[in-house]
Amino acid sequence: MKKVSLVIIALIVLLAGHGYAQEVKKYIYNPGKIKPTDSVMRVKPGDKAEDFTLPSLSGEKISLSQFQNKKNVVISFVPAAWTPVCSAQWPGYNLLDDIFKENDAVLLGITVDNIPTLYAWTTAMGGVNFPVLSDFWPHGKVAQQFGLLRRDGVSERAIVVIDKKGTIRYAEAYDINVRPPADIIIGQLKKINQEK
Amino acid sequence: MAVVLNGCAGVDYSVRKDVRPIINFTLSMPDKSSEIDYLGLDKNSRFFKLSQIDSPAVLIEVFSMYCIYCQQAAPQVNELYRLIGKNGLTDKIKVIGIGTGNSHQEAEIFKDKFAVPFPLFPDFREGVSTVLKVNSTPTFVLLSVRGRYIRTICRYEGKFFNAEQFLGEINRAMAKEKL
Repeated sequence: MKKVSLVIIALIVLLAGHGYAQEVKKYIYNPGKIKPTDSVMRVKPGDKAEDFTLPSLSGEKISLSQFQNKKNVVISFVPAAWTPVCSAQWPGYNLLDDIFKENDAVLLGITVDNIPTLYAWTTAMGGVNFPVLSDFWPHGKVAQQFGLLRRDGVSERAIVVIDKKGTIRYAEAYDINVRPPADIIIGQLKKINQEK
Repeated sequence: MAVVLNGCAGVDYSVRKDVRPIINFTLSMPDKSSEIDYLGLDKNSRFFKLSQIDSPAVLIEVFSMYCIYCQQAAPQVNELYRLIGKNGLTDKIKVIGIGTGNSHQEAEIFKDKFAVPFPLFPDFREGVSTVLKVNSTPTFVLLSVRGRYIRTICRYEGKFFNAEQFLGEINRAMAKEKL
């Protein structure tokens, strides 16, 4: 009897793992190929970054200005939770934590989704190890501030790098259908660090 | 034509045999001389063809740095590599990884983060992944690289939880092929 119970428990554990793997894929919505970019950037390298404050998944509010003179900031804007490219972008950034540390930088992930949606999505992805900020209300205000809000209400897939002085060092909206390589983030951070 | 050979209850992968020949694709030489030695390649070359790997079979893990399942599977894949060595099978099966959609730097980050002991190769433009007909990651493809054609012995799609059990599957497939 004990043996049978152990086998059943082992099977449940294994099947639960299987279920987890299938669940995330099952709930990803594929919008198909969409217009690569659909906004006009309002910022460029050399500009001072305007401050913003957004609620984060951890419950605290995060402001850009809190990192001034302390950390370089990389912002990863992704269009929306539960979409294919975004779901195959942020989990990779979990592996960059040492690189961020070495370069005295923090990563902020921003989408226009609300907190409950971001919670469900990031949990399904196994969690992310950087702050995730919700630009839900006023809808896409921060994305708009950078000129990254598309006409359909989602943000561009963009990377913005801001140095400790609050100066924008890099700002680029990528083809929304394609994940930008991590090389871009790493290259920009190294460039800032080499100037020391 | 893909044929389902078998599967194990509760294990998150499917096992398939694909009889179509695979193009003998070319990869850049690994950076580390220990990895060049492991694959039995000529140190003076910049590139090598799959068929030049010095073993009758090659197990390829197609992964992505961005794939959570690949990240979760990494310790078990490392264990599989270790078991292949422990069981004296290194001369029969070599293990390599192909980072689909990954740059050289991204593949290196994955390698460092998970202390991957076997060679990983970037496949930024997904050329190799296309040749291997990979739709999801991780995918494991066991290839016979001896003889007239390179062909698939087995494909394993999804992560696995038990390296020993997985090696058992590989051994059974190899035995059927008399490798």
